[in-house]
Amino acid sequence: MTEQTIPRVAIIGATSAVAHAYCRRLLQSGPVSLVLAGRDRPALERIAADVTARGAVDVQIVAGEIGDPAQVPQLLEQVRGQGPVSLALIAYGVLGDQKAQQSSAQELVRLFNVNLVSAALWAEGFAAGFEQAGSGRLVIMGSVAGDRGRQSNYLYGASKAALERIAQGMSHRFAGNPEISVTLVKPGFIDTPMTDHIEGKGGPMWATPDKIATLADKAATARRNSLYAPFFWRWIMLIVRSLPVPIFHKTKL
Amino acid sequence: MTGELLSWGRAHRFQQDRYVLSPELLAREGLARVVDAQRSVIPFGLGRSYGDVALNEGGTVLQTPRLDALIHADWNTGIVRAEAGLSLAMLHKVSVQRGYFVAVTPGTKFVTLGGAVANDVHGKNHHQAGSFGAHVRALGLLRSDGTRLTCSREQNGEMFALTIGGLGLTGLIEWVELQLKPIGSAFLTVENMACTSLDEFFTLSHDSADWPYTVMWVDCFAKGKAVGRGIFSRGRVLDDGALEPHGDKGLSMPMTMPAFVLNKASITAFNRLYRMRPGARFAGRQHYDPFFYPLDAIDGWNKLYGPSGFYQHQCLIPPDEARKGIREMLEIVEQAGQGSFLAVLKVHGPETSPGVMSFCREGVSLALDFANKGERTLRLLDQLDQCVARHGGRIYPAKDGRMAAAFYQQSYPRWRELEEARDPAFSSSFWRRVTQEQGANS
Repeated sequence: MTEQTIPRVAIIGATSAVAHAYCRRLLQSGPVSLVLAGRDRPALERIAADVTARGAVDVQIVAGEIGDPAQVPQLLEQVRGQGPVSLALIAYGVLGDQKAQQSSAQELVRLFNVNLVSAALWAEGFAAGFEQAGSGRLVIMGSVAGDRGRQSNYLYGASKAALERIAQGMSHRFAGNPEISVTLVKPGFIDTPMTDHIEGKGGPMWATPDKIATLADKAATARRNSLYAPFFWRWIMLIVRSLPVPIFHKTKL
Repeated sequence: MTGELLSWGRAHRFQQDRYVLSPELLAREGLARVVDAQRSVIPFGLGRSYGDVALNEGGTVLQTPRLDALIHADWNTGIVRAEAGLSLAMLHKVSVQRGYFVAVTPGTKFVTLGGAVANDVHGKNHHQAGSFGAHVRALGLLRSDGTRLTCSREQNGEMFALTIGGLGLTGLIEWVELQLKPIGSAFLTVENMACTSLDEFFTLSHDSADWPYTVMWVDCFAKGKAVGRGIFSRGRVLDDGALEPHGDKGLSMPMTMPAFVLNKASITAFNRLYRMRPGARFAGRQHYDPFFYPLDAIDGWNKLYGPSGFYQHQCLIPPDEARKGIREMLEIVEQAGQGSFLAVLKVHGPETSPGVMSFCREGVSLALDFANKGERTLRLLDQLDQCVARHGGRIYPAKDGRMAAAFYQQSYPRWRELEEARDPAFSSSFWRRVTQEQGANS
């Protein structure tokens, strides 16, 4: 295989458990060239060593404030600097503390900057590149939390809901071009460091990062526009969305 | 995080804290956050040890499976360095297609590298390859005082030899460097054959010495001349270039079975069916997954033993005493009528692992398991220990949850060296049990 035929893949938020699992999944079907972007350089170096041992070639690290909208344009330059990207995964976000976000303007702005504004900038950046190249796949990690505003996490949910609209609109934008696709993945509970503080974690509702990564990879390969991961969240969220307001407001969800 | 964490035998229910180790935390602050003067810690990987070596009642267990990255791999030489929470299953997903397999594998692929080192596990090729530790080139140890030690035969050799088989007590094993074995295929040529007696087992083992993998499943209900009856199995890796790793699919045991599912009648029936099934006379080509890991196909098979769990008993008897000792053991089990459903017999070769506290050495090992029926089971296990002791043998800490301190100290006479090298912040229920109970100062 020559260098030209090895796909160049960009992972934004590469230190997340799902992103790391996604890289490993990709490498099971053959070598890829990887750009790993994230905030924590030692953590990125750890992932880079792992994927290199698994057959990734030409692994590049881009360390910086990937969730800061002001930084995205120049980070995007670095990510795309070494050649066109044919597959990009946007897989970072913060959950934060809803109480703090309700009472602190700074926290609220940060939440939307990280989860929404910066992610939109990355997505638009990759979309422009795909348009120019005539092909490419974009995978965005959303969340089931975006399906309905709930007292416990509506601000996080709103940031993910808006990201879903962006993905949806982009899918529409590229509907005429079978070579370009945008896939929004909506996972439920994932067993990652991000959810370690949740009491009673574990059980059939919780998926491993590898499970989510596998589903995301399949969906992106099939050029699906969106999916719940695992599938059963589709039915759970259908119920959550369909509950009439008087009943919904009696719950503590 | 709290919550119940069980070992594979499910017979110990301990109150202990759980702490999930993350690579970021270890890189930033080592063990500073998890170590305090009041509570000891012990690493816990995938929970495949049967008893209490990885449990820590009243203390903290450090869960390692997130430390699962490869650090370096040279696919020309088969030298791989990886974080200690990586499982053999995950390693083989990467290495098999590149023509490498671990040099020694235990009977499940769901063990971490750290656990394999700490228990110095062995497999069906012990007579040729020794234990897992014989193929460890180096390891990284993080001590509770923040020191990081690289240990190998040449560097910190004493700590290296005490960490291999050291039951996780010398500090946190952060990474392990292994020499993998080149393979020409993911498939083996396998021969399963009926064995009608213990004498025949020794003959078959002797005649199969040039087969890399040999083991025998024993029927524990056989009496008299039939003692030692079973299915002898031997295998050799092929060279046909088919390098497919194992798949992800398997059955899963969704819940704990009621205690009556495994009883004398059902085990006898199982044993008969097992001996008569077509596979018992199988000879042919088999993938490594069903050959090495038949029980991995049923996720959570340990729940078959019901809510009280079960005990394993694996002994190793020196060569001179082996025929006599193993026969006596099997007779004790048959008379007790508490039949073991998975009894495994294996001839071991000379030990080449540097592990000071490793279980393996030359001789014959017998692994048995018994549903936990309380006192009755514990009495039988004590009786088996006495038999092992009479024949100069020892039992395997990774599978033990109840041996007496005096027996442990007698059969592992160098235990004080491990106590000396132990990280002061590390301890386990097992270690306190076998070193602090009566006889500890004898």
